[in-house]
Amino acid sequence: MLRSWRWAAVAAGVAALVSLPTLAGALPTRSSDVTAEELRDLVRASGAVAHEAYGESRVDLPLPDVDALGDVPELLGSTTRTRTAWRTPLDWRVDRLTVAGETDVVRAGALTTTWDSADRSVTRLLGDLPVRLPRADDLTAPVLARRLVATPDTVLSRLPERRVAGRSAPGLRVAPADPAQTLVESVDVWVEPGSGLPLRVEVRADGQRNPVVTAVVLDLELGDPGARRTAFDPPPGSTETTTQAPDVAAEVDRLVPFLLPNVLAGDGRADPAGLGTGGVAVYDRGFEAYAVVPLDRDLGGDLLELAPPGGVFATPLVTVLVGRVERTAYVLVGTVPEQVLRDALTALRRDPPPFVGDR
Amino acid sequence: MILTELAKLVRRPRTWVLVALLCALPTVVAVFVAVQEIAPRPGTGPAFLSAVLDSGTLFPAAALAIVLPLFLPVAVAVVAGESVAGEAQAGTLRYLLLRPVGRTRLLVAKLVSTLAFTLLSVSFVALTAYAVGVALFGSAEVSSVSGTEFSTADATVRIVLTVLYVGWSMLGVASVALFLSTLTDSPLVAALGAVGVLVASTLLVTLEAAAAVQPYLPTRYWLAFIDLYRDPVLTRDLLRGVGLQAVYIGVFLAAAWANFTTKDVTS
Repeated sequence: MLRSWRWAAVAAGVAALVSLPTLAGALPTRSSDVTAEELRDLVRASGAVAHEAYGESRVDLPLPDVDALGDVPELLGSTTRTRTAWRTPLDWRVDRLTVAGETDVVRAGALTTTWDSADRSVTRLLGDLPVRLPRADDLTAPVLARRLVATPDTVLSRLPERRVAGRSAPGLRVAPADPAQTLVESVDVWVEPGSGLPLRVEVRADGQRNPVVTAVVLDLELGDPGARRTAFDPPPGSTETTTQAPDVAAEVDRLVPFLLPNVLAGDGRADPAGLGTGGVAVYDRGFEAYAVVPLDRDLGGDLLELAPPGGVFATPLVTVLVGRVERTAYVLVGTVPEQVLRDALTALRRDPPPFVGDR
Repeated sequence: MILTELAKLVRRPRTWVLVALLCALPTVVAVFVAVQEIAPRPGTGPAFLSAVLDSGTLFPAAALAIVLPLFLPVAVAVVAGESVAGEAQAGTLRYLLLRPVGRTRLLVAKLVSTLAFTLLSVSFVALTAYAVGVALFGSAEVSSVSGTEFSTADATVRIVLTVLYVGWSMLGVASVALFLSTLTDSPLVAALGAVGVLVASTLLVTLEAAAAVQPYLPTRYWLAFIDLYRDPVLTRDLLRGVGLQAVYIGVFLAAAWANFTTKDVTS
């Protein structure tokens, strides 16, 4: 009797502990009558919402491990942990947390400072770049949602509420108006109802069971985090550099001397070529978007060697096509089916972009 | 009873051999890094080891990261696994219980002894690592991984908190081993059982398909002590680590108590 009583007490304690996460997950949500359009407007205006957040972003886009891409294949092929202190769109800090360090992006006015604790380096960039590689701060739920919800040519609908970061969050689905032309099936966003701050984003690709991109805020504190949280002074012993092109995409955009067309295979360019336009062109029609990137000889040679037969790296959400136009290697990358990129490459070969000399 | 167990712990050569081995491994690593002046490439190797060439102040954190994955939990599992099963194997458990000593009291004494070994070993690793780190790499000012400067007091507080956190994490291992020690008469089986649990947990923590259970695995938050070196301190995983270990400690100690106080002791 005594034996069974003691074990029963232990078993009851274990059962209570094991059931706690299930009970916490079963907390009810509160229904909301906010419309999809109202949610979209709230999300668009949420850049002004001061907050501190801890979040995770998971992307499943396997990219070839090319040195020039730096940590982008890791960023787009794993889970990224971030801590955000956000005061205004021009005063924020996003720390990418790794097991043993951080890569932090600090925005102060027009100045963007990157701190890498691994090699104790500080990199400064003045102004915004039209083209650059993705960073961890691009993948936080609020930033990603604001960018995706602003996409034109979409259809909006409401999703049921869901508990995110301890809050009952109404949901919004953004779907492409013409699903046949893009690999994006839908973008689902759950929103903090009081402030409009996006708390969870799921990007689904055509025919995929699980989201290809999931960004979620796990802890949220609304309100001004204070100036100290977004201030950054380089520590003693760090190396400091100022750059105009912090990554290979920005470098290519700045230096590659070809003038890409304003219309390619029937698609209009998002940034019509003109004075000050870079060498990379983005052709954009809602979720049907792709970039055309002429490469220099070294990078182009590397990519052509890595490319599988046919030159296509296909992922559920993004297609990459590598091919030559005359003697120059081109990369075409976008959220579109392979045929759209092939048509664009064929158009480039038919009418090669003019060489416009050194920039 | 507790004092007797503590005195036995301190008098046993095995205790000091284990502590010495735990301290030796980071020391050997520090000597190699200092002589060759080659630290692991940033982002690779044990946490903080790539930074020690600039300052040895944070070498205690690197040393704990070196021993944490394997050597420290194995040492703790050996000591905790031996606590009850060792007495049974030596045939002394029956005689211990013949004395006017309650089984719960004996279990508490064994637990306190294991706790003392855990704190002793973690503290010795941190102290010797600090001495070795400062001697080999100097004591220049250090900065947090977030890029802000630490004062010496800041760094010291964080190292003390690291010692406490790692010690608390090891108590989870100790409680598993202590429970297994009440199930078997073989200290080796109890220690290996605890190590087996940790190996399984370490494997599942890296397996994406096991994401649903990862927040509940005993080793999931062990390395969260690194969050003490961010500015401000990121408490999320630290608190979860403390809470999770509390659950493991509570559950396995309760199971050890339920089993030991009701089992038939024949050896």
